[in-house]
Amino acid sequence: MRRKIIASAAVAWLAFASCSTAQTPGFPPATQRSFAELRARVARADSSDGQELQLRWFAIEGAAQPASDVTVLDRRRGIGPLPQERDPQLSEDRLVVISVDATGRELDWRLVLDPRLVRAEFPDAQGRLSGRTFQRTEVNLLVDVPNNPDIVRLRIYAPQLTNDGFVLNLLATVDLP
Amino acid sequence: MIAARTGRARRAAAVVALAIVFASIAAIGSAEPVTVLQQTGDAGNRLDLVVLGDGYTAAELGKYASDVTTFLTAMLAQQPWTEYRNLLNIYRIDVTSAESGASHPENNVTKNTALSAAYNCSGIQRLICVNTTAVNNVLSRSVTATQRDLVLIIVNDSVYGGSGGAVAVASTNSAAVEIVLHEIGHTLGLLADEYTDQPPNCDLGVEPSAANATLQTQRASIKWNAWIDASTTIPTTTTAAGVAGLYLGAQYCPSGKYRPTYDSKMRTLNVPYYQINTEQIIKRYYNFAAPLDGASPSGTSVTVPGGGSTAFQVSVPALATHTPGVTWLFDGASVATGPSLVVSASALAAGSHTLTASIQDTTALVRSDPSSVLRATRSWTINAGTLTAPGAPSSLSATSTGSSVSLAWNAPASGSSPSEYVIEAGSATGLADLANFGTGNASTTFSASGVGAGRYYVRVRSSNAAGRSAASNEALLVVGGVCSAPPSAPILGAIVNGSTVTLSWTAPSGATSFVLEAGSATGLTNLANADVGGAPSYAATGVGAGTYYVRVRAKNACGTGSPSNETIVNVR
Repeated sequence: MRRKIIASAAVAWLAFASCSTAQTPGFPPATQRSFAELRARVARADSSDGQELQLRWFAIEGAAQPASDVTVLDRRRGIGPLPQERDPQLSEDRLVVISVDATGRELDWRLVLDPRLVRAEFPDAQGRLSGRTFQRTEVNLLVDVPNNPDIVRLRIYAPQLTNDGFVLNLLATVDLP
Repeated sequence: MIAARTGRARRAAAVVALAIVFASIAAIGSAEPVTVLQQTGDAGNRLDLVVLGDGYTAAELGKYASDVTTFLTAMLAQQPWTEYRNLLNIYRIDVTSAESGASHPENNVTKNTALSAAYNCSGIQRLICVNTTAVNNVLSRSVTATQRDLVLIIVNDSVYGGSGGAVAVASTNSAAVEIVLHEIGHTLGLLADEYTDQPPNCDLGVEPSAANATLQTQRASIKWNAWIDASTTIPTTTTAAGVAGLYLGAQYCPSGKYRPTYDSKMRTLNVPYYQINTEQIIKRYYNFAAPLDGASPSGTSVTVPGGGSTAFQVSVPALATHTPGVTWLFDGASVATGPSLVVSASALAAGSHTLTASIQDTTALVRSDPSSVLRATRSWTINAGTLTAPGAPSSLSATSTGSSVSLAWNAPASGSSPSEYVIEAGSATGLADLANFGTGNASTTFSASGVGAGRYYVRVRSSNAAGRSAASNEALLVVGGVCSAPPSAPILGAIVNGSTVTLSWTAPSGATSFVLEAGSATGLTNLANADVGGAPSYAATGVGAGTYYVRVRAKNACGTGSPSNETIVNVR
């Protein structure tokens, strides 16, 4: 029991530390928000030229949000056009990456497949499937966002399906170098 | 790694992260060779599948290429991949590993491979995991962001295995293609598993977002209702293949949640996706690819020149057995079908108009498309130009062969389009005393035969209902052979017999005709000045009494020569 409490305290401290280092000017980002509200309020930016960010992500399970430690491994600007989704749809195996400027204004959002998710599905002799899903806690994430010099920060949200649609939970905030 | 981190672990992880940064920097080298296996269009308007290999040594890259081909052949043999393969680009990245195969920790076998593929991931023998950092490094340096909508990794190991998620991983086992198609159903189609075994947990609290699972039992509320025949009972209990209905059990829930067909690839391998899942995958294809590849004119605002016309065209990807249809809408009204349309200024009322090409994939494989992803449009704002007089033609050139002549010129660069051209020809520069006629059409060439020998100073003008242009440049047209100068002067003699005067003269070299001049005094031409043809003689009858001062000149294509000696003819 005592070990559990210590672990929880450590996780809470980590969550606080992560939150502190990610603190942005102005109002702090919403830790939970509606995807529909995001789509209505933030238009996707021009995709004619992008930048690629390779992130190293240590996800911390069971902690209060945000509970991830994200490091920018590499940043490549001017990579050319970004994929244009004509009908971006969210699912629970995707993440929402929001690009933010220095004032906290949200400039763009993208959907990426959640790199933490691993599906282990296998057939029996008749081909009938069964399986499990795993959450890896240590992954590499390739994110393409518009090549806008005003973008200084990324916010990464995970979706949660509710009867009112998808709600986004803040997983991590990462300042760009 | 699937465990919560402690503070110490976090510090250790930070060190590891730093090491990974340096490792990543070291790993960033030249791009791996990329082979385009199928390019059906621009990557920005296609679903792009990139295939990587792991556990292939340099000597095994040929086997890798063969394995990829085998895999893709099996994949593209299934619907909807067969019908929609022309919306798919496929790239193969040749990743070379130091050792062949994959690691099998369960057997204490470790292989040094580029992407670190290993079985027994999380203690599940058939689960293959890869190093996501290595994978992303390869993707980053080898393909563009638009070329990696789907990522597939083929592992050089024949033992059945693989995994799904952000990247699909499969061994070379021939059965692996089926599980990859199932996984793509998740990643591309956002489809739910239709099997009921747990874990994962059954969640009956929320209507699934997936197209192939529902909590709804009212026919009208079932998201795939368009596929359910009115005669099919709800819930549906038949075990017949491919009958759309409402079948109990889906997404890890044996009850309370429903699937659209008794079986499908999202439940059982080696069966089709069936209607609902196929429809959803097609719609997700169209998330990345519009049924429109290009359009001309390239701008969005077009002025149709007064008196002229403009051709509008769209290019549409051809699918395996059908091609999306094109309907042209003019100010909202359907006016034509097909990939191109010509709009004439004469058909345009004054003001601004909107022309829209509406492209629609009308496949029977999709019955419900609320987001209209199977449709694309391209619109232009059209203005009718005012008819003005055309500008002057340019670059007139004239050539002759024998008595045949050809003229060619450039259409005017300004003003409205000409309805015809006017050709002028003169015996001297600036004159139109030899020809002045309209061509009757807008062709920029003109030919004629049987043209008399001579030198013609030719110009052309543009003409339409609003007026006639200034003249083009003037071209000298020489008909009747090459000459350097007019002929020399003939020698003239005359015989008078009553009222008949017979004139004869020598024919200088090169003379093609002769001009007879007669005057009432020496040097005058007030009584006669006419071309009498190419014969070196002329007989005049019925000549009135008087004294005539007569000369003759020889002509050729270069002009009219000097006069002959003057002969005084007295008729009594």
